[in-house]
Amino acid sequence: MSQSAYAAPAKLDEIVGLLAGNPGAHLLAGGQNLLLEPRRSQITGSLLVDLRNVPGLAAIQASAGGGVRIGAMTTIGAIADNAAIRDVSPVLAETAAIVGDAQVRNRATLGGALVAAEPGSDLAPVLLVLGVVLEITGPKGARSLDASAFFTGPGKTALAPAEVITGITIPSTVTGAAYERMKDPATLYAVCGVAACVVLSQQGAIARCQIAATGSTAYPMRLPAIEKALTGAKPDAAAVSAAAGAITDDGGFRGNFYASKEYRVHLTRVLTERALKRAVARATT
Amino acid sequence: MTAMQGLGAAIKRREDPDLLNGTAKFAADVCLPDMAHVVILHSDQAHAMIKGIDTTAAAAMPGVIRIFTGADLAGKLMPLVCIWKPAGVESHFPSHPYGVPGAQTALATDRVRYVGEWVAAVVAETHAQAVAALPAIKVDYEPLPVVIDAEAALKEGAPMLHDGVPGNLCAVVAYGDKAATDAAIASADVVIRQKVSIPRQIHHPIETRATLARYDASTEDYTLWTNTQIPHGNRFMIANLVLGIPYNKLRVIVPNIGGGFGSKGYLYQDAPLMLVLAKEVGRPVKWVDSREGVARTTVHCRGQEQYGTLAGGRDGKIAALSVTNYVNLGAYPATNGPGAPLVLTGRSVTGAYVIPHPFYEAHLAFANTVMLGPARGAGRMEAILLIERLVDMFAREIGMDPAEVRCRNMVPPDHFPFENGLGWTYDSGDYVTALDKALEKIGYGDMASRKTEARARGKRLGVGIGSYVTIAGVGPSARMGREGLIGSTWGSAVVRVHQTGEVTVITGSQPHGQGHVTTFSQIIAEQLGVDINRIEVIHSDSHGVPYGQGSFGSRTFSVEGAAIFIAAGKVKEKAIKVGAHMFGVAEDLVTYEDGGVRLKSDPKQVKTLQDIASALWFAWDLPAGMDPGLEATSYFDPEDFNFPFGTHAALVEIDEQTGGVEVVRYVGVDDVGIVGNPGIVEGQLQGSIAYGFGPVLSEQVVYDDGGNLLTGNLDTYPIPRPSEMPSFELSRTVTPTSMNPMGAKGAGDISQPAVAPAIINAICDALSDLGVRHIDIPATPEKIWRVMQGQSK
Repeated sequence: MSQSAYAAPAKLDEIVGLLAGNPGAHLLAGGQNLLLEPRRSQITGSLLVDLRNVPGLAAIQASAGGGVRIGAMTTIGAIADNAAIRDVSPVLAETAAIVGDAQVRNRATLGGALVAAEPGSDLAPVLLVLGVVLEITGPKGARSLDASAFFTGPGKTALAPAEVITGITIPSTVTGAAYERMKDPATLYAVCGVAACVVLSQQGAIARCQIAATGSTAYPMRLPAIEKALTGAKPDAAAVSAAAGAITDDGGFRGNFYASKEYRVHLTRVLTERALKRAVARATT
Repeated sequence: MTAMQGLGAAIKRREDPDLLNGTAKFAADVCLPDMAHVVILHSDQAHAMIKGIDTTAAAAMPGVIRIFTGADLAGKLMPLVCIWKPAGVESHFPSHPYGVPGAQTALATDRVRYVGEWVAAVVAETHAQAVAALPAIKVDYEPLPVVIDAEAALKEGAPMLHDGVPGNLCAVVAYGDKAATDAAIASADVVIRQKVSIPRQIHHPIETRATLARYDASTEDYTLWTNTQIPHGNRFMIANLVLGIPYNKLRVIVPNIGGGFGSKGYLYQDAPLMLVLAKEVGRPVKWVDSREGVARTTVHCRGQEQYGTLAGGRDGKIAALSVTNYVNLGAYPATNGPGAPLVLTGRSVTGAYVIPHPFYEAHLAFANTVMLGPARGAGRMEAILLIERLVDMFAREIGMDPAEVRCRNMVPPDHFPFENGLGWTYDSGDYVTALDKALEKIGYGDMASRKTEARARGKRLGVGIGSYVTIAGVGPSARMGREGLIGSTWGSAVVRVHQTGEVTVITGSQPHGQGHVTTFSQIIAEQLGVDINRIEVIHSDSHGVPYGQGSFGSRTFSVEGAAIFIAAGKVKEKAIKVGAHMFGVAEDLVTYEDGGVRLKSDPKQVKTLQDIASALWFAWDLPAGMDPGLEATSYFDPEDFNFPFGTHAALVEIDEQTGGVEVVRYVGVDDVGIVGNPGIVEGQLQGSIAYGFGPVLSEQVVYDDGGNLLTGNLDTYPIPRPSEMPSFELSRTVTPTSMNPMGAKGAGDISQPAVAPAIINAICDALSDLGVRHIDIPATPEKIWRVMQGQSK
């Protein structure tokens, strides 16, 4: 990396101000993506703005309605180890525990993982199915955004220039959720990962389900066709299997020499079925 | 105390505190006043003519001192060399002015032949400034057709890489009796034919290559700090064959090395180039490679296309083995490039078995890729994978248990020394015992119920065996010469006892992580009874020490260690003479024990080694005709190689739906003869297995058809993490060798070859009821999924 200027103000509005006033500036959270980029000569900016001194950004606390709010600077490792998160959303804690490796989990932050919008992010599909709301602060003030609207393309998000994610809220306890993945042996990102979240009706049918894929798709995304097919259905093995088996490449899938598109579509079917089965079992109990 | 430090004691490594505390210095840590930094422009073309290079804009960038292209170096250095010329056959190489086989030039001149080839060198005040200037260098390329594999390169009409190499053919080499082998195959009841493709891999040691060079204009002395496994070999080749300067004007120093695995056992372009640049700019210059540079300009390894035929009878006896192998050496030969696919693979393909009619033939070609060189398990990994796959397929074909077929064909313990028919003479062994122990440990007899239990969980369970014999202890020099090595491979050692009683050992070996200092200290502790903390081991600096061959080919303990053992023995002999003289008795009345010469009649009476060294330093009263000083030099050239062996067994579970494979148990029984430090040997054996895992499950070099490397960084080249491997359950048998006075065999890379067959045989076992006969490495989940679908990928 060539010499970059560095600033680490303690106030969020100063952070936003620096980002807004220096269009080439980069926001530094855990650094797990950002610090790789200079080596790949992709960083052109000259100013690094570090979030580390802003107080309260790593807090985890109960939110109204029985949910949990997680600050953007919370490390992935802290999410994995947090009892409140394990209670409200076991799947998020479980998934956090398998992200990357221990060194990455100890440095990488929730906000950083979101902003990086890696195509094989493990956390992204989980956040997509949990009904998570993102808190965002920018030059025009604060706003909330449904996580489902956050990822807009490979490495692309709905953040406007100089906007910063400050935290997320999982609105209420969600136990009927599961995440299944096969990891890429080089990057440790998902070759394919599928998160499923199921709410059953009193009659035991699927009242609501959210399913999202990562790794196999060009970027983390919901799979609305299968969600629609399953809504109202009995969550038995045959229905789940049939719905998962109907997943086809609608153009959103990707492949490379390690794992072809055809194989990733197959994995998406298999892992969707597995995630759904576990999610249903958890929703029932 | 010293009894606990001698051979056989698992003492902790003396090297480790420095390494673990982070105080150890590596090549990139060495800095000199006024040092400039060098960054290299790589070719982004796999094959192209260079029409012109414009460095004007780059030269004007901040901090840039000078930019060099191939044209700037004309007359200043010759091409690199290849010191392995296949013996007894016609061979063709790029040219070199001295008539030896040539290799690449430090910087390309008129043409590039692989992506990564060095095109220009930027010398700047800082590394960052040099990096910043790179994109400003404009190279005008005229692309040429590209060929990236051996079989394509050898086809009629393939693009030619070198004027002096017709048809891109380096050499065709054959071992064994082809006619007799063909006849045995023709008359056999059962014939198995299988192509085994072994993709290229990248060594990827933690530390990249790095070089610092200094030229002293007043004395005309050159000094090189570089992380080579062969410092003396670098000095010799650079001085005599590349720069053409007096040998004694070049000093080569190797700081700590962060792993080599064979990738640093060469002369690369950076070493001579940095020396020339240091002289040209009048300042020391440093170059440190990047991870992408490792992938694109340090050698790759493996890379064989083997066509194997194994023939035998329904009684399970193997009658014949025939192998034809195609190997791409890369765009240029690496220093010893032809060695592994010829000798190490070719003479080793019979594995642990008595095969009456073996034949091997290798076709070596040049193509538009990075150079090819040996890696841990070099050549033997490829050989053992092939024979172990063929033996398994043969067993399945005749409906016999693969373990039973191995047992029936293994060289029996009373058949040693055993000539394998392809040029090796196995020194000693008890192969069936190692096999039996491994089978027992993995619970081989109990697989049917485990398979059923696994199927209930959606998993296919399989068990696989990898039995091996691996040449080690390189080696007998005359023999190596007959194989084609333009060089020697003896060991060298100086053992010097100072007047203070402390000991200095100078070794020709080159440690790069294996714990040589500790093991060599133990040899002295064993022979002379000196506490290891009073022993220093000097290595890896050409200044003022005898020529040393370096470390490779599992040679260090059994060859360099033997030289130390012998030199220490000479010291002991002299000490006994002097001790007897000091006691005033005849030599046969004294004995050397526990650090000194003792009277046999009264062992409490002792002249310690320090007393004796002191007497030899004063030299006031020595036996008649004896020279002062207590030191000895030894050059040890073994009579022949040694051949460690063993059997590994793996248990795998395959996910029926995804094809994902998990190695759930891994058992190894190895025999490396008598060991020096059991802890260090265990570490080497564990490391060999870990090193073997990558190629089986994930690692592979992938080029596209245009010669672009798709696996040029660690995001695309997967090295397995420890979390993806089970605990390796290891044990040893002990069969000494007579090839050195310690009875020791090599241990550094000898068991790596067992890993691929053990795991691949287990995968094929798990899939056998689907009709799967073979799967090539790496067995990626998608590949397994496809064979489960009845497809081949």
